Parts: sequence; structure tokens; C-alpha cells
Amino acid sequence: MKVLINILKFILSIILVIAISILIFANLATSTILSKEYVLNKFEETGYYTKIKEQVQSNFENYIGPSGFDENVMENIVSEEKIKNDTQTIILNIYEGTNTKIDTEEIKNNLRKNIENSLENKKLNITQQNAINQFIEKICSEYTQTISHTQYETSIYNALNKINKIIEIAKKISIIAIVILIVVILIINYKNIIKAISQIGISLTANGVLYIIMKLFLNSKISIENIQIINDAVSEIIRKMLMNILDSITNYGIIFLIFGIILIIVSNVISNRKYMDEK
Amino acid sequence: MKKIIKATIIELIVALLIVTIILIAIKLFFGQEIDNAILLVNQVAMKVENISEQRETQIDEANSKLINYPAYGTKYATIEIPKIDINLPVYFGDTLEILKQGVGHSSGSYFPGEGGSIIYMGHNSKSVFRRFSELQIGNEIKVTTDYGEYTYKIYDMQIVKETEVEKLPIQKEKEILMVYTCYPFVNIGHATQRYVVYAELEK
Repeated sequence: MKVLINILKFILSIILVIAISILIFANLATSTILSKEYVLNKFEETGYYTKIKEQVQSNFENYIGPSGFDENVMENIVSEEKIKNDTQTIILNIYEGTNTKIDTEEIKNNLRKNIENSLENKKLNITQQNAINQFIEKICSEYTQTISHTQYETSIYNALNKINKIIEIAKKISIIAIVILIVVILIINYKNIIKAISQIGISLTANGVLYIIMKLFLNSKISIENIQIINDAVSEIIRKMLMNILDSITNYGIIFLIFGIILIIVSNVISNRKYMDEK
Repeated sequence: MKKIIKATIIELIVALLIVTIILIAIKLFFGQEIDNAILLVNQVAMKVENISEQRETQIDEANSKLINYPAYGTKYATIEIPKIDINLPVYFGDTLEILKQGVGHSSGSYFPGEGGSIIYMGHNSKSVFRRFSELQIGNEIKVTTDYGEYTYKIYDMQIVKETEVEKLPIQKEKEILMVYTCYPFVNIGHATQRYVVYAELEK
């Protein structure tokens, strides 16, 4: 009977570790990549808007050579403020499904004004007018592409929505599971509650060790600092987020490990004192 | 005290056993997915090796061949055309990124000193080759590379279509420098013609 109870306790501890892990990872996801505020905060932190402005300007310059226009037609056609607003529009599209299109009217007007100034009111024929219109459209489409990086904002929003729902359910189930498991552990150890504390301590220690191993494993397998996706600005954001998540995993690991070991030691000290008193 | 330590160690071993079982379960049930995810991330997380310093570019004059070619995208020369006040850096390669910085060297052509066709290109903007129309036969083009100086004399100028690649032939019988830019020099929209300046090695 004692063996069976010990096996049951062991299985309950494993389930408790899994339930706590699910809750921790679900929380980590909702407070980082699934949080619009977190992502926008990271954009500010990494100087994303300044970097993306440089990228936009550099991409525009690629069109200057073959166009025959002077370099200065690209000057001041887009501000950092506009880039910031448009980036936030894309983030809202992705996280809230707003489906707002980027307005390029301001860029069009600024560019047209610069071109007219550079041509010094020279009379243009229809072909030349069309060529200018095409050039302006091309620059606007380049801008939209550089800002949004994707045309699948609605699909990403739908996917995120599903993930959010699944994570919310996982959170609820894991909280219920943790409460039930603790109650069951207390019932099994009703004769000696100290043993229940020790068992919870074992689960917390296991959680701590598990997270630290995960962090070490991921660090050894992935070189996050070298991730390159789309452009430098986007890569920097992704690197920062992943580093942040790994740091949080380590912090949780250390907290659980310390708290778990303290519970184990305290429960052993109390039960030893109890044993000595009884003796 | 000994009892407490012993009990603590036993419980820590139990905790480690739980971790081991969970890790084995993860490996069994999600091992393949985890490996795939790591592989995917590592495809965009290339480790940048410390590239040893680029060795100096030299020329084997006896065989008219470069030793240690310049790395793609690096500046290896300057082009000087005194007639139109041009003094620009020359980069090995012809991407738009390179052309933003100066003159590009077509990677399929020979290098100065190798005795073949050298193809350079640049934008027709004010700071690059817009004044090509002022060039005349007999004007000089000086190319100063990391391994020597080469002076070329212009012997021809042509306006060609962008598709007429035969007007920029690659050969290794005579050292010819061909420098081209988009034409018309002040066009609007996409230029379909190229203004090519042909120059032969003088010294």
C-alpha cells in the first residue's frame, strides 16, 4: 500500500510540474509576443523607427539611378513620425484585426513636389508624365512593403486570435489542475501535512531545474545574436524578444529552484524536529 | 543534522528523476518537431566566423593574372576622368547597393592589368556619369588600383540598347576598359539605352 501511495505521489508530482510549466509558458507568451504593448515597447527600445527610416531611404535610393532623377528628389518625403504611425497601424492590423491600409498620399505629394522642383517647371509630354506617375507609385509600393513586411496581416491576426484562445483555455485548465493536484496532495498527506509541503517543494525544484536546462539547451543550439530576418531593424526586434523570453525562463527557473529547495529543507527540518520531540 | 541532509538529498534526487522523465517524454513526443524548429531558426541565425584579414591583392605580371582577388563588394580602385572632374571609388560587383556608393565592376569581366575586357558601370546622376556627353576621343581615364596604376585612352563612344550585350564583349586579347551609364543622361522613368565609353590601355 505504501509503495502504491509513493508511486501515486510521484505521478502527481510529475503532473504538477507539467501543469505549472504550461501556466508559466502561457503567461510568458501572452506577456511577450502575443502582447501588442510589449511589441510596441520593444520597437521603441531598439530604436526600430529610426532604423526602418534609414532602410526606407536606402530602398528609395535604389530607384534613383535608373530613374534619371537627382538624388535630392528623395529628400524629406517621409518623416520618422509617419513611419511610427504606419508601423503602429500594421501592428494594430495584426493584433486587433483593424485592417487599415497605409496611406501614402503624403509621400506621393512630397515626392511629386520634389520632382517638379528638380525639373524646374519643364514642360512634360504624356509619356514623361506617365513615367513620373509610375515612378511615384513604385516608391509608394516600396514604402508600404518595407513598413509592413507582409501582405498576410489578416491571416496572421486570425492565427494569433486562435493561439490566444488556445492559450487562455490552457491557462484555465492548468490553474484548475494545479489547485486540484495540491488538494489531492494535501488529502494523501493528511496525516502529515509537512510531507505535502515537501512534495510541492520537489515539484517546484523540478520546475526550476527543467527551465534552467531548457535555457542552456536553447543557448547551445541557437545563436540568437546572429538571427537575420528581413532587415537589421526587424532582426534586432526578434533577437531582443527571444533573449527576453530566455531571460524570463531563467528567472523563473532560479526562483522555482530556490523556493523549491527552501520548501524541501524547511519541511525536513520540521519533520526531524517533530520526530525528535516524539522520541 | 545528518538526517536532514540525507532526506534533502533524496528529495532532490526525486526532483531530478522527475526532470529526467519529463525530458525523455519531451524527446519522445516532440523530439522531431523541436529539431525542425531549431533547424529553421538556425537557417536565419548564421554564425559569423571571424574572417581572417583579406590578403593584399597583387598582380602576377608575367601571367597577367591577379593573386588574391578583391572580396565582392569591396573597394579596390579609384577611377579618374580629368576631363569631367570625375574621381570615384570602384567596387568589385554591380549590385544596386554597390552602385549607390560609386562605380561598380562587373564581376564577369577582367581586372585592370589582366589584359582583357574590363566593364565598369555607374549611375547617370550628377555626382557620377551625367557629364559623359562632354567626353571626347583621346581623353584619358586613369584607374588606380591597390596593385598598380593604369591609364586608358578613349577611342570610341556609343549609345546602345540595354539588351545589346554584344556591344560589351568579354575577350582576353586586348585590354579594353568599357564604362557605361544609363542614357539619356536626364531621362524620366526607366532608361532603356546605355552610353558606353570605350578606352584602350595606354600604360
